[in-house]
Amino acid sequence: MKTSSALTSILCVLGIAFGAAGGTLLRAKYERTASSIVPMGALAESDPRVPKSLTLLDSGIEPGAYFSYVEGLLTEKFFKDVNDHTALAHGALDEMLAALQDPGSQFYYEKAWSGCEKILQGGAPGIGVDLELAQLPSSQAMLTKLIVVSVLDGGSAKDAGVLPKDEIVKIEGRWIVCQELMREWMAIQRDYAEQRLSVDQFREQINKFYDRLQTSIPAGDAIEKLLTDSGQPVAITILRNGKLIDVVCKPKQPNAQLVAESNGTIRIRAFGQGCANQLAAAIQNKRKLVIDIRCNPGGYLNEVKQCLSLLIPAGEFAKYQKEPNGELIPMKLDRGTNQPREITLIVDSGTAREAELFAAALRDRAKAKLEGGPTFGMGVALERFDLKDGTGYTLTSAHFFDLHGKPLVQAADQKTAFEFSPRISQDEAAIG
Amino acid sequence: MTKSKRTALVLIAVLIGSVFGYGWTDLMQGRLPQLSTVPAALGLRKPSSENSSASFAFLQALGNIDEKFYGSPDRQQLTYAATDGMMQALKDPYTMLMRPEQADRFRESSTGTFVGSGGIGAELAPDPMGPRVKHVFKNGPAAQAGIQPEDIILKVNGKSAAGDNLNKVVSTIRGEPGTTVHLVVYRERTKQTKEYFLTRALATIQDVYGSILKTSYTKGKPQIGYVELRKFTTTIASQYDGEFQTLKELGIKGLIIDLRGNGGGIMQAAVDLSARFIEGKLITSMKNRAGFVESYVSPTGYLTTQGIPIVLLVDGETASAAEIFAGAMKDYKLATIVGERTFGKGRVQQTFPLRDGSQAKITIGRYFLPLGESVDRVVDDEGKMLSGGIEPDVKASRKPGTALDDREHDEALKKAAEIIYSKTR
Repeated sequence: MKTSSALTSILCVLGIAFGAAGGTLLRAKYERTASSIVPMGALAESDPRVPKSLTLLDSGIEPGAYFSYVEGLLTEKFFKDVNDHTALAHGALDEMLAALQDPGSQFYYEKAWSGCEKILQGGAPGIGVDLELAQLPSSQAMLTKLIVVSVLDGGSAKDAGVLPKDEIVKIEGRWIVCQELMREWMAIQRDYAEQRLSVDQFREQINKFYDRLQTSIPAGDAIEKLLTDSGQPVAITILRNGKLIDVVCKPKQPNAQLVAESNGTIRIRAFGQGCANQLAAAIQNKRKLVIDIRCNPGGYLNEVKQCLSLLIPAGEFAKYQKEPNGELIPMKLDRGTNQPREITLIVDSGTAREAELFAAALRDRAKAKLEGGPTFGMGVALERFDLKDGTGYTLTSAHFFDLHGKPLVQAADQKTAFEFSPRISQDEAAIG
Repeated sequence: MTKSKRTALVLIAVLIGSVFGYGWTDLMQGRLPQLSTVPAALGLRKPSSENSSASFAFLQALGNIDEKFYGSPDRQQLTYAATDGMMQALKDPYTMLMRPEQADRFRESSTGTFVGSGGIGAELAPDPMGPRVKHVFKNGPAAQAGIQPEDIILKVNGKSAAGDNLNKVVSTIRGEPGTTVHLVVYRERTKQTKEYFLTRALATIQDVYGSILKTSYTKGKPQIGYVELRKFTTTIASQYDGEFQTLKELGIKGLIIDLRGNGGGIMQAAVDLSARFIEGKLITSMKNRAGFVESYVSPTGYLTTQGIPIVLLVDGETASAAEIFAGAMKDYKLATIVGERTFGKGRVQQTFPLRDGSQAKITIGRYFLPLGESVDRVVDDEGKMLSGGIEPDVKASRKPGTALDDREHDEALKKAAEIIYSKTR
């Protein structure tokens, strides 16, 4: 009997030890597999999932330690349960990317990111425009401009007459918190300083301005509205050449298509996934090509390179710069074609980003004849980061230069004609 | 013992061991084992993204910016922006990150003393023409030079202050104690502009202003003391003691305490001030998210103000600690509340200092008045207030356009005086 009890006890102790070991291993497996679950406060830059390049802040604190300490505080102390850490992450990314004050670097909430994805598939979501939020370096964070980059094929904005470089200042009668609104603020200040307004008039105007500000819509929300299919007409006000123009964009359901061919012209709407394969099929057995990349807002650099490899020989085709004032690094194709082709490329002011690189490369390496207007002047590479929860963000990762080292980016303060060649015009095509 | 019993015991032991092993990390953090994650651990379902940490997303994005971004942004500013963005995502208007400079100003406003540098001894409010003087502190450089409330500072050291951010202008006004600052000041009432050379000093911020109410409607009647409370700083109770003692010696028959525009401050300051009126009683209770209730009882031995009618003036800007004080006075029926419905800030914040000088300000609970009422405002989608705040016993408000220091035409103040007279008869 005694032996039996002792045996049971030993087995129980062993059972507990076995169970504990199993439980610990299972938990470790869970922590490892659930990469999105991170124990609060435990994150540091030593974490293998965190890039190694990070260094300490000026104050001697690790950014991760600082941030995760505050996240821990919120989790522990906030007067309501903090369950949705995804929302916290979105808030953090939104503000952090805005702090970069770069038009290409932005966080997109779910609907807006889905809109961006659709554009890269050749679609025209929402009112059918590709946008950039230009933030002017200023102590006043509200100095932003919501600029139309490209007016997409088949979209309602195209029918309504919206053009690239138009600034959208109002949606449904509500002002977007943008530069135009601040311009008004500054005009009131100036009129008062120059004694064109009395104190009472000044106060009245300021009060009106505050009322307007009260009902205004943040630029991020505006982008979401403009890129989302609502099925309803959207009234917008655009600023063009100093004039405010009201337009109504009626809902449409255009087909998403990256590459299409009609009347002998190959239209590339965006350099999205699969674009090169579609282009390869479209150019088969053709010696003369007319390629239309008007209102093409760019896309994946890799797709652009694959498209180029179908049209130009291997070797250098352009240059890029990884940081301001950095060296120009050659961009090369490992594979290419030596098949001679006569290429005409149609561009306009809605041809932007990677599409401008494509145009410059064809001009310089394939002696392509360029037709149409000047391009947007924003030849930058956008790196896209999909966060797997429906949101994502973009970062400007490089500035493009043509084969001769001329920038494809218009300087921010360049208001009139600029001498360098971001704009690829018909005349400049002769250079090639 | 039968074999089946032994097997059952061993299985139970294995189960206990498993739970213990799996939940060890949770137990060490003082919480129950998170057994809801077991299916995910066994691969039966995907890990929940609800628990994912914002820190991971932040560090990954910061790493991507480091590695990929065209440019070299200031990592410290990015970290502040991200942290602030995370706090804003909680959609609580009082939870925010204060960067080092903001944290210094906040400390000043809570402690009532200048931190770090000297100033002119005035509280300034934003105005499109330049900072508007809201209050001039007793014995400070501005008071000695004759600067008055409502004066507008047009220029600081020769540079126009119109349209500038208030903090930016204040940082140029502030400086080493003993140094001089040159101001051009405009007085709207007289339409005159005047220049001042002021020597900066480490002034004590004055939050309590006492005087005898002298207007046409008080002429020939018993004297009424009028005390303005601007902010609930740690020194408010002692400042009140000084001002009230002076008024008491002048033989006041009633007291009006003006809490209009008082946005609150330190919760303990409200309790300390209440002790001048209410002895040894519950002033407020604070409930945190775990349901833990902390009671704040006024200390004994500080009772100074009793036996005279008291009126509290409130408005839509009376908030937080000021509402705690007003609420306690109302619940114990020690004062008549005159004015407009108060703001309704029924949440308590705690600041958490961080090593770099910044501070995280976090709402940690809700407070309740002695009779158990919450003043927390409830608003609709357009920001219109549906409920909350303290409803005054007698409604009265300043007519639009009445200057803040125009006691003669201040309808609420006049009403307060009438109430005092009706009680002193």
